[in-house]
Amino acid sequence: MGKPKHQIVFPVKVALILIFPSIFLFLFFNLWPIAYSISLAFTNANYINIFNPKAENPLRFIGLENFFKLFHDPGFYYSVYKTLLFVATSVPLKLAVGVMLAFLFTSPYIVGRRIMRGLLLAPWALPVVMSIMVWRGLFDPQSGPLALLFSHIVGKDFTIYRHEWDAFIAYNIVEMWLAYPFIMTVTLGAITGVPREVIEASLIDGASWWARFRYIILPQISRPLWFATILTSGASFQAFLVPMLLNDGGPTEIVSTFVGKAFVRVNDMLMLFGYHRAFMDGEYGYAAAFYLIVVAILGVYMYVWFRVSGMYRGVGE
Amino acid sequence: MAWYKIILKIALTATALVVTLALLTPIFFVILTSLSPIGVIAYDVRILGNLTLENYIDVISSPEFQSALANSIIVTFLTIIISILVITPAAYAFSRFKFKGRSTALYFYLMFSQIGGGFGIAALVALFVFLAQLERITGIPMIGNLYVLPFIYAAGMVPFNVWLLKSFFDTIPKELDEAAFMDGADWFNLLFKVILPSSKPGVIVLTLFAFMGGWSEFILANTLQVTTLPVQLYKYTTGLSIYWNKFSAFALIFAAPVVILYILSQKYIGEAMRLGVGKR
Repeated sequence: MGKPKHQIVFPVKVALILIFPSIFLFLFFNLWPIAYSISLAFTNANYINIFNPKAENPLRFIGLENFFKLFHDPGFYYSVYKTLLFVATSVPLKLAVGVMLAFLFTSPYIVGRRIMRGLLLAPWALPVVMSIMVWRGLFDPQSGPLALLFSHIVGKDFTIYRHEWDAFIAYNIVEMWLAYPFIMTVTLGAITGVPREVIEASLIDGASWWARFRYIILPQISRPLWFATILTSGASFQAFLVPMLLNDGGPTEIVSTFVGKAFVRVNDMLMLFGYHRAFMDGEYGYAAAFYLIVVAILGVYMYVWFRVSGMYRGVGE
Repeated sequence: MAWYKIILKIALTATALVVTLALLTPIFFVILTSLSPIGVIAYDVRILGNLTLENYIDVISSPEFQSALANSIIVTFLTIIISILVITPAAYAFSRFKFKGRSTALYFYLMFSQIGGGFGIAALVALFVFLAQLERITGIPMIGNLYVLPFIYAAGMVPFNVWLLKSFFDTIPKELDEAAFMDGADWFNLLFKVILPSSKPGVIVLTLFAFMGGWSEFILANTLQVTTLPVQLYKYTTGLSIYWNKFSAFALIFAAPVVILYILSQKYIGEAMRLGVGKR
């Protein structure tokens, strides 16, 4: 039997024409800037010479100068320190809140738990940018209800614009609020995956609630929870919108590090530090060099996390 | 029911209610403040007697809001149009054609859409410098140009959404293409008048993502100096005297379409995720 006459042919030439616009757009605005940022890291690009080729200090190749400068910049080390501290505080907070919510809302004794569970996903439905700015309102030193409440509790002004650690606390709370729906959803999914028969069998055997948690529920949720932890740690490490929109990584203070003292924005998390170097100082080459280092750190960080979680997985099995 | 179960029920429901209400504080706060007659925050119960819609009227009639809204509508609309025009043919080609490098390209797209996010801000500096250079060479304004943004947003959507739409197209029988060809359709008509309309969930999801991106994106718009709604909202919070009641009304008007779409589209997003995961 021959081919039916209406058989459609898909010539390669047509395929390439169909794909071309998307590839072009993607290369032009996504891949090319990434490649370009690598070469930019070895230049002195700044806000003058990229617009004016006849600038006093024209755009040129400067080798590793940006990297040397970076490793002598107290602001860089302080930013690394602050970022790691933020990961260390915000990740346990997000996990604790998310997991506790999940356990609370698996209880069949709660009336209207489906509705409440739906409402708790509100941070997902709202634009992130708007949520963070609303939090800025809650922390407004003059009239924000949370700022006033915290001031009342600690007995002195809670001011995210002037106190380094007040701002840091605010970041943790906002980050927790943005991330708990994710942790909660992952954990809920894992808990509901525990077969009812297993739990019932353990009840008949007279297992204590702790034994039930330790030997039945925990093994079931540890794997998805590790996965969620890796992702959410990455999010904390790359904190950008939260510090930027709450108080732009401020306040500005003198800090001393082992490479010397400097006047810096004390809550400049890494991603924001680079952004400020580019768009506050206009040092584009320096910022590009900085981001190369950050992307490298990020790669190592994610790799280590995956290895560690893989190790634990191995133990559990 | 045993008495201790009733107590447990009351205690747990009360706890859950308190926790839920506490976590929804920002939402109560923004709604209440948007109705407040005074600029400061609505922590004072006395304002409850004087709630007003004045802030909404003020915001809607302000020129800043109107121009930001116009910018946002143009940017969002163009993002949707460009992403549909560009992603549909590519998704169709990946779904129907066999060519060299097809699976490599698909795999690359998948990888990029999984890990590419972290490079966004890192690449932003280079994108800015690149556009500045382009502006200098071509003489066409790039920084502050409203019409550049939709192309960047659409470009960012390519990897993930080509994958997604391809998965939707894979479920359409090839006989449909053949029938359309029999009727004398060309490639363009086949794509946009036959395939696309018969993949309704695909189009809806693509439009939705394009909408969410174009409407709510902040960093690129702010950096490239295009005052869309989120950028204007940010300007409200950085002024010397901040009118939080006007801010709140503005914020809610800005968020309303996103929230409504989020609720309406749950079903389609679930479908998309299922296809996206299932089709590895």
